[in-house]
Formats: sequence, C-alpha cells, structure tokens
Amino acid sequence: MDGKRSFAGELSSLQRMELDACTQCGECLKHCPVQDVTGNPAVSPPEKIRMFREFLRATDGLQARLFGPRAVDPKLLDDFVKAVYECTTCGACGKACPAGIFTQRLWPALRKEMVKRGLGPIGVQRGMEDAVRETGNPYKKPAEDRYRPWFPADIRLEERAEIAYYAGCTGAYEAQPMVRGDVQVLHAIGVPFTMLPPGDEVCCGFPLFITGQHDLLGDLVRRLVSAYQARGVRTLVCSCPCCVNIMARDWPLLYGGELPFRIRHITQFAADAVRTGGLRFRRELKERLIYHDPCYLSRGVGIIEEPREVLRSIPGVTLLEFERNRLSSRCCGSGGAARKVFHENAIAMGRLTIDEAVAKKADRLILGCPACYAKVNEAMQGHDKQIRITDIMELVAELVMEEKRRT
Amino acid sequence: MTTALILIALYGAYGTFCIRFLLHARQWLEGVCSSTVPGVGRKSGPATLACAAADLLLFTRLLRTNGALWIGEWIFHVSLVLVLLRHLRYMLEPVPAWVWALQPWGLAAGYLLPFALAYILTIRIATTQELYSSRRNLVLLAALFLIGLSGVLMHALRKPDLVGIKAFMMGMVTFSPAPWPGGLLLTLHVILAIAIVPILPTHIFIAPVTIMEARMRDDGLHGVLHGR
Repeated sequence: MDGKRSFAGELSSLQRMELDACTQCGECLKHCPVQDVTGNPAVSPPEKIRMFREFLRATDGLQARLFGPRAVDPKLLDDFVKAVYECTTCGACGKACPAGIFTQRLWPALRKEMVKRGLGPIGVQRGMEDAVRETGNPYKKPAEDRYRPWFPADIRLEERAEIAYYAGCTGAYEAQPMVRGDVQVLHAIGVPFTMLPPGDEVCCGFPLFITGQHDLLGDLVRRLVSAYQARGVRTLVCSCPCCVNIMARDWPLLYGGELPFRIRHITQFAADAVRTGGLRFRRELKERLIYHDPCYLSRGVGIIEEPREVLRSIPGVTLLEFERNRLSSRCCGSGGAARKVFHENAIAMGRLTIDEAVAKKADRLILGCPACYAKVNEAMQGHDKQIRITDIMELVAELVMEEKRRT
Repeated sequence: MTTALILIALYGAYGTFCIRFLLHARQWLEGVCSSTVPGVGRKSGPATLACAAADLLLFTRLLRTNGALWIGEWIFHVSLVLVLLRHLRYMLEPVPAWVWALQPWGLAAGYLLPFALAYILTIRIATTQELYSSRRNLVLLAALFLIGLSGVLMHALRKPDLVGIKAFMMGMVTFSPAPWPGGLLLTLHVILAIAIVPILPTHIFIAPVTIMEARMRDDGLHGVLHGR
C-alpha cells in the first residue's frame, strides 16, 4: 500500500465534514465506556480524530496539494490503529457530541481505511473474513451446529412464509438461550414462520463491516436476500441488534436497492403481540428487572420502548433503569468486535453493568443482545458481585412455556 | 517598515486561511449534497429543520451535555460574532446603517467576551470533570482572551488612533496601503489576531452543517425500523 495515498478514500463527504467539525471539546470522554475502564485519553474520540486529521493533512492538506503528499509518522499510525480498534463503536460519544458527529458510523469507516492500508483488522479479527468465507460464520463453527443444539424439537418451521426469523451467528453459537427464546416466542404468538437451512443462513456481514472488512459484504447480502425472497418472505425478524442494524441501514446499499421485505426486531413483534393480545402473561413475576439498552438497538435503530413495553406487561414486574439508559446507554463492553482483542476492557465494562444492576437491587439483569449476553455472563465469572442474567426473549419464553405446561 | 511587515503578515495569514477554507469548502459542498445512507434514518420536515436551527443558534446539544460550559460558550460565540460585526466599520465605506446600529451591542459584547473566555478557560483547566484538553484549543482560547482584553483596554484606557486604524484597514482591503497607526495595545491586538489564524479551527464553518445533520438523524432514528 502506497503510504502517501489519500486517507480520505473510504470516507463519505459528510464524514470528512464531521472530522472537520470536531471541536476537540472532550465532552464525549464522559460518555465513552473505554474511558470508563482505561482512563486513557490517548484512545479517546477527539484523539482519534486529531490523529486522523494529521493523516489527512499529510495526504490532502494545502501543503500536500502544493508540494505533494508526504508519508505519515508510522508511530502515530500505530497509535491510531490501536485506538480505533480498541473502541467498542457504541456511539455514545456521538450522541453526546455537541457538534453532532455520527461516530457509530465514522469509526467503522476509519477502520475500513486501515484495512485498505493493510493495518487492520487486528488480532483474532484477522481470521474473520476467511472464517465467513469457509463456514458462513465468523466463529468458524460448522453450519450443521448452527441450529441443532438449541432449536426446540416441538417447533415446526414452514417451508415458505411471510415471516422469517434470522438467528444470527452470535446468537446461534454463543447465546443459545436467547435464540431459543426467540423461536419459542414466535411460536407462542402463533405466526407461521420460516428459517433458512443452517448452511444458507450465513453471516449478516456485521462483524466484517464493523472491523472494516467489506470485500464479502455484497455477496453475503445478495445470497441472504435472494434466499428469503425465494421463500416468499415479507418480514424478516431478528433479535440481534447488530444484525438488525446492518440489515436496516446497509443491506439496501449493499443489495443495490430497496429490500423485498421489511426488517423488524423481535421486540417489535412481541410488543405488537402484547398490544393485540397475541401474547399475554397471566403468571405474576414478582421481580425487580433492570433492562440494558444494546447500543446498536437504541442508538443504532431506535428500538427503545418496545422491550420496556414487553417487560412492563408482565404482571408483578418492577422495571428499573440504569443511570445511562435509552439513547445514552453505556456499552456493556461487547461492541465493535473489540471484545475479541481487548478482552480485559470488555470484562471491566461488563462488570460495570453488573455492579450497577446489583447496586440498584435488581433481581435480574435483562439483556437484548447476544454479544452482551455472552460477554456479560463471562464478566460475571469470578466477579464479587453476582446477578441473574436473562435475555428478554428468554424471559418471555420462560413465562410462556411455564403457563403452557400448567394449562 | 512596521506597516509593510504587518501588511505582509495580514495578507499572508488571511490569504492562506482563505485557500485552506476554500479547499475545505469544496469538500463540504460535496458533503452537503450527500448523506451516508440516503433515506435511512433521516428526516427533514419543517419541524425538524426548525429544531435544527434552534440547535444551531442555542447550542442545545452542548446544553444537554454540559450546562456549565454551555453558558460560557454561548456568550463567547454570540459576543465574538457581535464584536466581529462591530469591526466591519473599519473595512466598509460608507458604513452601512445596520453596522452602526450594532455598535452598542458590539461594544457590550466586547466587554463580555474576555469574561466568557476566562470562564471557559477556568472550566477547562481548573475543574476535574474535564477529562480531555486540547493544547491547541487552550492556546487559541488564551490568545482570544488576550485579543479581547487588549480591545477592552484600548476602549477603556488608551484610545487608539481610530482614524488611522480606519485608513490602514481601508488601505488593506483596497490594496492601497496606508501607514500603521502604531500603539502598543493595538499592535499586540493585531499581532495576536494574525498569530491565531494558523490554528483557527475549521469547525466554526462546518459544525452548523453537522449539527443540522445530527438533528435530521435524531428525528429520523425512529423511522429506521418503524417505517414501511
């Protein structure tokens, strides 16, 4: 890679404007979960932007235009790569940014530039693209194990249906109670639904997108969209916030036009069923629940009230809130594929979530993201504070199944 | 000699700044016409645009995150605009009526400006809640403070040669140099105004666009999965 090549190649014009718009005020640091656990301003949002501006100045600045681009300081480039990949891309910095920079989209774009330069991704993220190419998932797990360990034997899938359920790789391989809960809830609502065969339900592209590896994205999306289209799908339901995010925001661009079906998050589906009486809880659950907003669900696609609506509809439940909730929620540490490289940060962030839930005297911590589910459970191992962790659909399914057993 | 040096520095600094600005403006113009993901999660109705204008004029995004800093920043920015507009009387002949009308406001703003900057600097440096400080920003704020302070001192204590300043400034904008009127405070005032040009942040031009874009995005967020 030519070290003097423009650093602006992977940025949209708007993103270049956003880099210029940063006032370096540092307000974002108070909302950054990585800062919460590292306290290291060198990996903070304004520092990333300051460093990237240096790169842009070297290849695209006034001096570069008059006298030619110059190579950038390799040490600064190394520092930047570390900083941009240590970020969880949760987007809390952007939400708090006085200049309104959309950081949840900016960081992945900067990572894409690093990938183009052969500097990213880092650590185990490097194997993701090959893993997806070979097995259809970033974990390199066999496709035949995608559904088998968790899919309930008593639930029948349709060959063709207007509604399809996409489990997603992290749910299917790393957060199985969550995806089992999803299909049990869909079944309990009583809608016929279909799923792709395990070999056809390939990665949605998010792990590759978020680490800056875009080469396979178009192919993955076209395969998935065609497969769902062939089954007559009109609504694609998914519970993973990251999958839902890329489906809603990027699939149309990668597919090259409007999708032939709409995307819905499972809590939208469940909340609709609660409203129409398709999902009703009779049994009381006398528990204090605290719900954690996944970053890519709340800030990413605006699913904020539906999970709360579902939880509030359970008789006896007291719903608590984290100090930072809804659009300001604090990342639990699992975002941006950083958990795969900066494991200690992720565990420390997960423990902050656990600690706050325990301090609020919650009986259960309710999560809504498979990555959060896997990592926060991991963070609790060996931690001095303990709390029961349940995925929102796992809880709903638990209640529904128990009622079913009783009747 | 002094006149020539100051003129060269002024033309050089502001000329470079204009080129830098034009280069950025070209990118910005492209940006205004494009969105990262057209149609997804973006709303631009009249209510959204009205809120975006309010965000812009009242710095509401900063108000939401840091009320203490917001009051200082808002007073500083409004004062700065009024002070700059007040300075137009040196560069326009005849001076338009609206510039005359703004003079009392500009004068009051000139007195407020150093206080607002001192307040911002105090928050930035002295309070423990600020986790990040950009050295460049601090230098810029300190320089602006000194520019403001020297302006106040010139008005309150040592009146400069206003006729000479007007002649010099008119000479500069019409490329027919007039002699530098001199005076320690005035020279300091102008040298600092030249010195800050290389570190002038581009955000003053482009943040309005990103702030408006953020409002359209915030208002459109609900539509990402709730539409269609």
